[in-house]
Amino acid sequence: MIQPGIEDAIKKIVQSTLNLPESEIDSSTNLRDLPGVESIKILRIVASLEKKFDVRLDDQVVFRVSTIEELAGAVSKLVEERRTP
Amino acid sequence: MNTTGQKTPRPGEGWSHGVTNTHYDQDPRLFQLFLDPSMKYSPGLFPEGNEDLETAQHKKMHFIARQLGLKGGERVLDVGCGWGSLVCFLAREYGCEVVGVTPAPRQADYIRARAARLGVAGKVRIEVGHFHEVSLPTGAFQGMTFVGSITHFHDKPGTLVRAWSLLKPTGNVYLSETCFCNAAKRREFESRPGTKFVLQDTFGWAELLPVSDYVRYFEDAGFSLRGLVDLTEEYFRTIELWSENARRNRQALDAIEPDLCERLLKYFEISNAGWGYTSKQYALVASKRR
Repeated sequence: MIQPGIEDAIKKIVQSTLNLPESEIDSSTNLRDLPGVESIKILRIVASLEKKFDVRLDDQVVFRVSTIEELAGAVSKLVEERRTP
Repeated sequence: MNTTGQKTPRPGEGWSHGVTNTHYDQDPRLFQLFLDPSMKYSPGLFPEGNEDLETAQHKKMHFIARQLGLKGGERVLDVGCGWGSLVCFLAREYGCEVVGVTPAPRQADYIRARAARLGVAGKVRIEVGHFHEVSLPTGAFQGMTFVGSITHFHDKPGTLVRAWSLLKPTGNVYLSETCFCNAAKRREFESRPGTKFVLQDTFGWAELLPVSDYVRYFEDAGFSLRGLVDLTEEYFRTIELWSENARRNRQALDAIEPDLCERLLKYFEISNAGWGYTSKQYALVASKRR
């Protein structure tokens, strides 16, 4: 279950890291297909996310990430786990 | 930055200092345009978090001296001494007799002039050449440093064997280096374009290992290990400040070589993106004592 706000926050991070207009970014877009993207930029997006949500994503997610939706799902899951006693 | 078109040797194919020099033996003015005034080309230390670059580098050099257990007046060997920030610092602040080794003649000239300017010419000796080829006294040094230099050496185990023989029986070594996070990361990322851009295109030749390899080389050479420090965040902050300096001096950098500023920034960006994901910066301290 993707938490509201997380996907939007990711879109904002992607937008500012890649200098893209909002219209270019869709939840199901593969990040690797976005203009101006390279693995370095994806790492920077992941680092910003980890900082913002205070989570640590698994290497499988970090190095294999494809869509915003998928990233949001991974972050949501970690945030959720933190709240569950 | 490697503009001389020299062929990069395969690991084990002779010394790497010819190609490494394509980076380090450039005009010091290039480096003055992004480093701090001490010209230290390695991470600073930011215990307060808001230090400027010069202060952070100064604190870092005191940190290295503490790690080596220096009280003052000892003989110290700095292998891969760059533009002599640490050599001159230890001679001035700790009264040490310091020998610096660099394969880059320009660096040697720069340091000698600098030591004279600082009034420590009598305490500083610079040997030009490869560490394995220059003549150095056996069992003579209380402290030895490899600050970001061993990455350029083909024979890393042999380098630490020689280090052991040059130290006094109670001597200490401080070695700091960029490492892969682990062996699996090395296998996966060693041949990626970004890695190649930094290690081959920028430096001529360098090789990153996981820190566990260095631990083993220290053990095999007979050392006792005394400490390991994670300096990754310190390097990230240092490179952010270098990038700021480079951007501020874009015109002057591009006057040296077209597009130089962008290439530097790309090297900084790749380096900083990888910290903690593919790479780590570690310092190891080892001792010859039993």
